[in-house]
Amino acid sequence: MTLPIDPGSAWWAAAGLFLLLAAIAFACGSVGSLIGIGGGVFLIPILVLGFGFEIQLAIAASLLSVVANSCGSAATYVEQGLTNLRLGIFLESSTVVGGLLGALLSVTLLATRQNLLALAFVPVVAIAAALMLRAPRLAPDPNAPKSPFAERLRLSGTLVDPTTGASIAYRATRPAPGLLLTGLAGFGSGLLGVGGGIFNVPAMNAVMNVPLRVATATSTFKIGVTASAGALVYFLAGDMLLWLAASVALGSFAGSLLASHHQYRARTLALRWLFLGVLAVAALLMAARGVGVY
Amino acid sequence: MATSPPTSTEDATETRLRPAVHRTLRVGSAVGVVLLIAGLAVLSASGGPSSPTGTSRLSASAIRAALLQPSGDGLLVLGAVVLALTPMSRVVLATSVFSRARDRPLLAASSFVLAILVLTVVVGVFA
Repeated sequence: MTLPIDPGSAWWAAAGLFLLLAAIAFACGSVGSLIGIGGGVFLIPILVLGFGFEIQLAIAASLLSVVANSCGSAATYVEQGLTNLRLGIFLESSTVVGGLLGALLSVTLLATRQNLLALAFVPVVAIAAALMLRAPRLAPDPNAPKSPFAERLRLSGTLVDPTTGASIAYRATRPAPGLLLTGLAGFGSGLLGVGGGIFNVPAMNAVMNVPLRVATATSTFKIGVTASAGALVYFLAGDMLLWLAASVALGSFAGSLLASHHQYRARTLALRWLFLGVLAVAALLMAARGVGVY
Repeated sequence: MATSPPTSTEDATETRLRPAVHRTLRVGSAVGVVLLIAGLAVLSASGGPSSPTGTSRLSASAIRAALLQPSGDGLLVLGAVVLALTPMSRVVLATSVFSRARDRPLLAASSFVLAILVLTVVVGVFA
């Protein structure tokens, strides 16, 4: 692995590289926090393709940055009452299982197959793009079918939209498909170091009838647990490049603080197109890396 | 910064849990971030990492060394551990609150999450 800047050559080279990585993670983390995905899906291609880091090291660093991002913005969303804590904890039960399996697969069977990991990134990015192309459900469907299981868990709530002041009552439905999809999100998170929000948000919003803002806040809350489990697996396996992980975690944390305080002002349509553009480029470059032409 | 009132209706358990989770996430992330900033500052001041591409393995001895002989790398180890344990600590907190409230379905869910997290650490140590 040859880095474009050698951080061991001088103090200014080290400080400059730390700041550059933190600035990139700040941008990824603020966008990721606004749309509830953590930002790893942007960060990993940049670290691998732009800086030449091995994909395992990029994944481990990304997982720690997702933890930092989740802690920073989830604290604000929890305080604002946007996060549905009961829903988040219920869905975590499948996400952590997926996260453990994904991380174990990555550090064992795929540890020496970087091209496979790069290729595995492509369908994840394609699915994320397809899900983002679907128009999000801004308001819950009042005629959604009742789920006795979800009723028993009391997964419903009322969101007061701060922009309009309107109360929006919602009733979470279809807990089983929701659990399955968020389990897949956990698997993707553990395997590839992404936050998993690219599956969590559509699962809660489109499948479980949860308003978009609550889905985004709840996704941000729950991705921290999955990412922390994954980060520990990589750290225990000896795949953590600490100065890289620290730099991106700090940038992502700062980005999450900024984004979570300005979530209501964000133009979600513009963000969605930005997100799609970055994902398309990342998918193409990672595919090229996977087949060895880049 | 002004604290916004909760914007969703919720039950008594969630009302108790919400400020505790908020505090846990804020304090844990603040401590972790301060340690990471200090670690990177020490590394920069000492001319950068001694082994720029050398990875670290988390172990009890690595944590002990970080505590007993503070260094740039040691501060980064502690910061990464504190940060990684912060979301886990709010799972412990939720389990305790649901247990006291005798909220069996959510107690089962949070206990299961906690068990898987412990299993993750055990598997990570022995894998």
